[in-house]
Amino acid sequence: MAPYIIGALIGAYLGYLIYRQVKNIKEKNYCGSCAGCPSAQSCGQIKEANGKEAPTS
Amino acid sequence: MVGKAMANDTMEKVNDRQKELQIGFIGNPNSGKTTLFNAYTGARLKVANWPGVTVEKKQGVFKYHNHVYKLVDLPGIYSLTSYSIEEKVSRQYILSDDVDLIVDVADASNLEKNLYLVLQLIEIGKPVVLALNMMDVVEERGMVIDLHRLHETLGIPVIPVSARKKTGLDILMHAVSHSTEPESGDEPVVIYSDLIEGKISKIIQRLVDYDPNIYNPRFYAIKLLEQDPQVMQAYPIELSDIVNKSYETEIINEKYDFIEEIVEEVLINRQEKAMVTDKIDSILTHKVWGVPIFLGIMGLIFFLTFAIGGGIQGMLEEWLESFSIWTEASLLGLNAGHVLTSLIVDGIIAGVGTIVTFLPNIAILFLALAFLEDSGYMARITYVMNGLMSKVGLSGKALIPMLLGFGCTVPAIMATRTLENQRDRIKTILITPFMSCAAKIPIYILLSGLFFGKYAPLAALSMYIIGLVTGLLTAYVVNKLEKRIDKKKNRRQELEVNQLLIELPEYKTPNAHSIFIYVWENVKAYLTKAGTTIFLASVVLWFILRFGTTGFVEDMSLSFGASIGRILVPVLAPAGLGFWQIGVSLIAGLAAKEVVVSSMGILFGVANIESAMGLSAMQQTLGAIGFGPLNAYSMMIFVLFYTPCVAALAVIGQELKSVKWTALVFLFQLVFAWLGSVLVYQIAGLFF
Repeated sequence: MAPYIIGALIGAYLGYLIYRQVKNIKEKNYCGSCAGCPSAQSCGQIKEANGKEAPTS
Repeated sequence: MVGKAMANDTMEKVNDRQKELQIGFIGNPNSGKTTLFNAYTGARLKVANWPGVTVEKKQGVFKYHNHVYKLVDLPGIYSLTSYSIEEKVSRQYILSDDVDLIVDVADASNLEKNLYLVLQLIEIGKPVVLALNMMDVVEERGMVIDLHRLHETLGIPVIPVSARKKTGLDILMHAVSHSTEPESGDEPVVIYSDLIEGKISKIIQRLVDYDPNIYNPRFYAIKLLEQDPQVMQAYPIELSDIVNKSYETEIINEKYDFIEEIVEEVLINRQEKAMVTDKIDSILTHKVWGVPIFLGIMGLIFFLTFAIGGGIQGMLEEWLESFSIWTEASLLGLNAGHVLTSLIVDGIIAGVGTIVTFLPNIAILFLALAFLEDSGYMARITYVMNGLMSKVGLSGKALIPMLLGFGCTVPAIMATRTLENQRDRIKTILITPFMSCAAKIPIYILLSGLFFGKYAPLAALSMYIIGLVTGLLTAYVVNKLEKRIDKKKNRRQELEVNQLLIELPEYKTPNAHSIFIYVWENVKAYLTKAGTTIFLASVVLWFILRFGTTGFVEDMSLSFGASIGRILVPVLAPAGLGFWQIGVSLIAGLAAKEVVVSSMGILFGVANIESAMGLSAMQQTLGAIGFGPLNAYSMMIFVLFYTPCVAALAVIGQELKSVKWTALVFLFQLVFAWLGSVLVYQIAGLFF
């Protein structure tokens, strides 16, 4: 029984990680996968600046 | 402190009956606005003593004596012109109806420079409170500021504070609560020459005729005299008989004359200013010795990272080794089966564990960097490097993304938005990934530790130097090519307007709390990434390396991963990297650079790659397939230059808004990495 529980826990965690990655990509939140990153603050600040739009090339 | 800090999300809960005032925190870069904002709101916004850290406004709430204040931290600016993105963001907000009161945070130890913005803010006509920050530095230098006289001259409340030591915060908020109306009335603080004042009066008349409800027409009249494009657009009135040219220079000069008078009157013992800092700077920012000293300091940091970091990881190694063995035994005892046991031991523990073992090295590195930043040296690096930028045809502002790139490429690429010139942006985006991000550190530590013995710190440091030099050379070559193309097409070169203004802060003893926060945030980020991105990548890697066409395989050379890796062998062979395992590692590194190390842990079946036993096992395995020091250095070069992680690539795509340019950047970095490692391997192979 224990192996099934361990396997299910790993599977659930993997599912959560994949869901989070996909969600972040959809929201164009590329710092989302590194939520604890100290750079995430400046990441967000820069992202929000200039009306959220980068100059077009 | 009487006030109670509250987070953003509790704002809605604030009782509507309570008075809510919106206060804009503004000031020169590096004047301590964010530290003050954090002290009031309990936020943990990134604080750094080099410009460009705050690019957009951040909000927080502060409650003081039953009054609720919405605090807004604005980007640091030197003036209220509208040349840079920081100035645009700040000015737009300050001029809007949203802001009720302005708190100008000024560096008291650098009064002359900070007073220019103060005068401009007073001219807007909104209530201003001057928070004289860093008064502790003023005292340390034996200087005295006559606060009473300064208040009289400026006509606004002047409150001495120390954001770092959290002193004067209560008095500042007390002053704010009593300053909701401008103190100076209609009398202007700065009175210009008769010529300028005459023109201002005439423009004011036209402005009032054009818009009878205009608030403080004097400010807009001054801006129209300066021919400010945004104000000219907002008030398109005929002024050709009054304004025949821009009077910006005259207005700036007259303001500075007034500032000089103020400083003469209020600043006592002015000559004591920055004597120590000047002495240190004469060495550290020397035009010849500045760069070698910087490289020497970085060399010392790497030495400490290897020496101390390597020394204190013994306990962690032993624990991981025991944990791996215990887990395997426990799983087998539970009849977990080969596949699940292999997933946990060979996949998750080997993949994530290898990354965790580098934690002591990472912590030491960030501790040293925190010392550099908090002492004020990091700003000097920007200053020393700034001179090189124009020589290679890059804007001084490109330095900020490049420096951020040493931490993480993602925010670094985003920071290129501060560059107004599109060509500059593309050039900076092209070279920023050459700056070694923190994720590459475990790869350098692993490979140099494995193959270069006592020279390991030098081998790791060389990656930083090669990356920086190559980045600058690439910018130089691209700039030359651009000029040649422009000449051929008879196209005029765009004028360079993106110069970086750097204000060097005073050297100070690093603050223990700031250092702890800096190191903790980075360590937390490293562990978070290990538990999420690396975890996911390790499981995927384990799957492709443990499954083949026949199902679960014990021999990884029969796996899907091996088949993929073998495709790359002929391509990577000239670079000394013609091994399927290396091919798999490099592909895996596209998910996140640390995964190169995790994958080596999984590939070579070493749970604890940094332990003496783990290192020896890996050396033997690599040696057996003919992978030596030259191959290792070639691999470090490849990792340094090749395409950054998927997240960075996605941001490049988002910023360039062009599939063609993104594909070109991707290919450029891949080809560059291959050429670089082939050159190193082939040329060095002639001698070693």
